[in-house]
Amino acid sequence: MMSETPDVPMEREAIEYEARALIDRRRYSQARACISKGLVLSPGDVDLQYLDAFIDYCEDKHEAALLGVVRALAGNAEHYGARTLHGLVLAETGKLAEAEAVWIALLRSYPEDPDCYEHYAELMLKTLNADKAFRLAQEGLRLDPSHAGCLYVAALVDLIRGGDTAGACAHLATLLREHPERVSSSLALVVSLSERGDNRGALRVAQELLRHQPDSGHVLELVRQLKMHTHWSMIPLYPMQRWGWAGAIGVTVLGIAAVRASATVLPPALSISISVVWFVYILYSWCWPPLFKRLI
Amino acid sequence: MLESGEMSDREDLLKPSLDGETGPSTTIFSPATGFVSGFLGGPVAAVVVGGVNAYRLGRLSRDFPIVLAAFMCAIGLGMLLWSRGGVAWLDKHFLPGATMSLVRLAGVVCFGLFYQLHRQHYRNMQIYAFPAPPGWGVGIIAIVFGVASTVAIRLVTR
Repeated sequence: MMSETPDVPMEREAIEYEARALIDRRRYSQARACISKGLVLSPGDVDLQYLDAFIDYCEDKHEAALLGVVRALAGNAEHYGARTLHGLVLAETGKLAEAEAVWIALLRSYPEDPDCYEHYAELMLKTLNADKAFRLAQEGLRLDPSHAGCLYVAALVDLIRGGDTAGACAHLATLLREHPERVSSSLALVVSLSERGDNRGALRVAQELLRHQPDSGHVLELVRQLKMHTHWSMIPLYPMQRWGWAGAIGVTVLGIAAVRASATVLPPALSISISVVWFVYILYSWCWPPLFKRLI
Repeated sequence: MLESGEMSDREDLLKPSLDGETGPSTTIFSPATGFVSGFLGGPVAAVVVGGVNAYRLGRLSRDFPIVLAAFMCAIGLGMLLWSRGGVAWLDKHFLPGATMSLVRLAGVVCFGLFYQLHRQHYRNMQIYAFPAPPGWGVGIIAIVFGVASTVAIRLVTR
């Protein structure tokens, strides 16, 4: 018995190490079996409970992940990983104000942790608080100037603000230079290219990304969107494609003005033809894009 | 050691931004809702959708002067058209019915104003691919309100 006692923690550590390695390789069912073995050895182990909840989170079982992480926090309320996961899971389950409270508490406990700034900034971006998200990302970058997550949030806010200057792309440039291998870098590049009207370039990057991440629904949706935007049938809708709603307003104002002017100046037959063409164009612009998106 | 300015900046950053009781609205009604409402219901309808979006974003107090000014301009345009001979002038120089085209144009332009005001939020939703809430309800209410206000102005100025 005396010789077995020290073996238990050794085995438990080996199990945790193996479970983490399996999670890194996305072998979740094997990792879960490994964790179950560990939990038999030490039932109240917070690290293993946290990893179990983390697998639920990775598998999009957010309610189960929430239950698991609350159980882990009951064992150790200060567990960093469990607290971080708690914030992420609360955001995923729509408990946004509670998630914010978790990130604020974490930032009070770890004021020098750029990861916490990144997660809080992402929550702010998801709740349309882009200005605060940018300030949080800047704070994270002050602590670690090459932090990938904070650079990603800052680059997205730059794109949201829509600046076209070199300074507005500085975060994206740094992200691509420092972390070219990260998915977030490619995603930010796709968004940036699309925002600048280069949908074909954006589609090429997105397709490459999809080859590396064939199971990503988000990337698949991105490719579908870009395929739709680059199809030849969208050429007549160029003003809307290029300038968005500003283009739609311009087309509407010009259309109404042209229809009214033609009614006063041109012969009735020609004026009616212009009205019909404009009406068909408007109908096409509203109906074809959503219909086409369903088809591809 | 953080300087006192940095400390207050940090404290400001750590102030909660999300409403714990009611829960925040993470999305606003789509530009299509505002556009169609403005086109069919005129500027008053566009103001209604813009105002509702400002409320959902929790920035109604900030946007209120603009909402009020846009509403007053919309009513002013109606009064100008129907009480100061604007309709007769339009009918004479364009065609009968040009007044409604002008109301539609004003509605679309008014939508453009609110689109510009909330542009950052719209782009945020677009980049994150957040689906907008269904805008049928608010759109129909805005259009009915817009058309009713046009009718009311016509009755008042008759």
